[in-house]
Amino acid sequence: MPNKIRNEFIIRLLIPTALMAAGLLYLGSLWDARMREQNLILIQPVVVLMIPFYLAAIFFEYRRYMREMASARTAAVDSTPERDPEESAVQQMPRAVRNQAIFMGMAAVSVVGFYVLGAIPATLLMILAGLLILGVRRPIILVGAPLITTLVLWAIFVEMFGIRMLLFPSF
Amino acid sequence: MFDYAMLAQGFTSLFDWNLLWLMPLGMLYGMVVSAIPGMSGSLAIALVMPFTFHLSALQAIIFLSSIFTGSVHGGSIPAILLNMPGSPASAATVFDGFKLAREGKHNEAQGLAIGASTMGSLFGCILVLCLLHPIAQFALLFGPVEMLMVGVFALTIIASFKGESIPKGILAGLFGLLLGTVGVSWGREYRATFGSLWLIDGLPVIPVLLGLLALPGLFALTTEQFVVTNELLRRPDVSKIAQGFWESTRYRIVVLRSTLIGVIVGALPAAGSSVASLLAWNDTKNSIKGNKLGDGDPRGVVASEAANNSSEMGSTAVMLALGIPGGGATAIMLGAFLIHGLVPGPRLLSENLHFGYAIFLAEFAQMAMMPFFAVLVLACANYIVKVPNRVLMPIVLAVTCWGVFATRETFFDIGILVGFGIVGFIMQKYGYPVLALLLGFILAEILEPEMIRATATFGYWDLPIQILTRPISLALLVLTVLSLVYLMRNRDALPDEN
Repeated sequence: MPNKIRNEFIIRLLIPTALMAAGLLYLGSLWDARMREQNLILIQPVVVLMIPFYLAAIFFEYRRYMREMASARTAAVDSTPERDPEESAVQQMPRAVRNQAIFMGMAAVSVVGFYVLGAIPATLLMILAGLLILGVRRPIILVGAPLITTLVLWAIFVEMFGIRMLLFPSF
Repeated sequence: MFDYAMLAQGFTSLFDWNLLWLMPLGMLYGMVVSAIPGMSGSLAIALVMPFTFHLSALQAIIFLSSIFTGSVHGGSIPAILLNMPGSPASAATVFDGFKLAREGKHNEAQGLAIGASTMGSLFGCILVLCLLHPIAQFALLFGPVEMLMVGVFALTIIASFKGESIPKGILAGLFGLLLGTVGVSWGREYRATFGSLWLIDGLPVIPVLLGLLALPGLFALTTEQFVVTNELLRRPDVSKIAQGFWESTRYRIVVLRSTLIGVIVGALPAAGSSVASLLAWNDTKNSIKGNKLGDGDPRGVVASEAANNSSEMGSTAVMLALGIPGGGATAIMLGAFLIHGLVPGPRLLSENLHFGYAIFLAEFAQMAMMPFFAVLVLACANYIVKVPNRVLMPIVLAVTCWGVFATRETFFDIGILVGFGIVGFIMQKYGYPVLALLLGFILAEILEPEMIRATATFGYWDLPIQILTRPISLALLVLTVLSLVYLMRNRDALPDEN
């Protein structure tokens, strides 16, 4: 439990630090820009203003970490071998969370799919993969949903609106 | 106030049988297209522009304004049902609309949106029709200092999204401001474009908006069975839509205030309907004691929808009176004016006043049609909540990807959508309000150019004096301070929208 809290604390510190670092890097990249006053008119005060709020966010996370560690220690002392009634529900959570993470990963990969395969194969594969990841096993849905959705999208966007897009692989 | 001869001439010019099918078609088309996440009203107008070449000027403009009216409302449909604003104008509708849908009140929420849209447009139309000339003159009073203060005032909304803590909310908002400055600057400097041509104009609004607002919700919904948990509440129900419609008439004060905000903000160049709806939502939240705005309060939907629809009236009024577009859709409509031989600018109304009156009189007809077409579209759209999430979510993701692609015809925007979706999901998970980030991003597009204009005109050291000595900017400054004081005093009651 303390390890989990510590890991989460590290992630919680990383997020504001990443935002602050991105802001500082952005400001630094424009420091020698031509017409600096105009280029930095908003960026400079915003980055300067970010610093106190970054520190406040870090302080907030530290206080939270200390509070959680204290309650974890208390819970460890008070713990009994009896099973928590919510434990089974908690144990089921990782599967849903894992599927969610895989679904997000699939969404990221499908962006590459659009470039490499073209819109139609990428859409078919994206929907099919999404359905499989989220646990759909009925063949009619696995075949029908990607096909019908892609066909409708193609008819609306390409045929009706005349939007130009790479539909199939260009190689 | 009125030129009755011109008003009568405008009215008679509406007796054209072609308008009988052009207006309903435009409304329906606007609603359906903007109900697709990623497809905005301006895109819907741009796509049909070539078809208007064969129409007369009045037919074309009324057809396009029907699309505009339909599209502003249409964006609320996915905002309520799927937590995905169909267009940036519906961003504030998400806050309360989706929460109501989760409680099984999606029919009522849609009814509220229809009622507020209709009343907002109606009041806005009456206001603009009566005050066409003064509104145009008032918009001319907004110089860079006043526009800068509009942006600063709108920034106070960031403080109302606290997430886990207020510093986190403000940090997210400030980071959003930085994101809004990406692209080629006024000083011709390439800022954080990483050599990509697609970032020269900055980060595109629609993929960022959908990425931050819609995708985290979509990812979160994958762990649940249905959008609406209670099976009995999933059914589309026209009587409940009607109930929501009538309920919206109870909030007349909210509608009137939001309409006024919508018309004024819509009249300001580049402010846009998204800023109008956010300001109206924030105003409603600050003005009503004991409200639950941000947590499924019907008044949130009413304020947002009334403001974004009435902002359309404000922007159309200024477009007609001065030839200045208030947003993307009116900018494209200005192109339609030129195509049909009408030169936009102050002389347009002085020489063709009947034309301006005809456009606003046609808006009344559109108001009357809106509830019927909205119910027609909803009768189909509300079935979405009956589809299990594990089937619905991959399809919605695919539709969003295509919708986002359509704006600039590049797969790069799909990358931005998914990238911001993942960033938004992580930020939400760790207590950062993505709405603050989004608001900062939207407002940077107003703040930076106006700061440059204001300092170029008055200099750095004279700017505070100008703010304090100009009546409009001073009034906005007072409002900003009052808003901040109110938020600080009530910070414990602020909702954690995560």
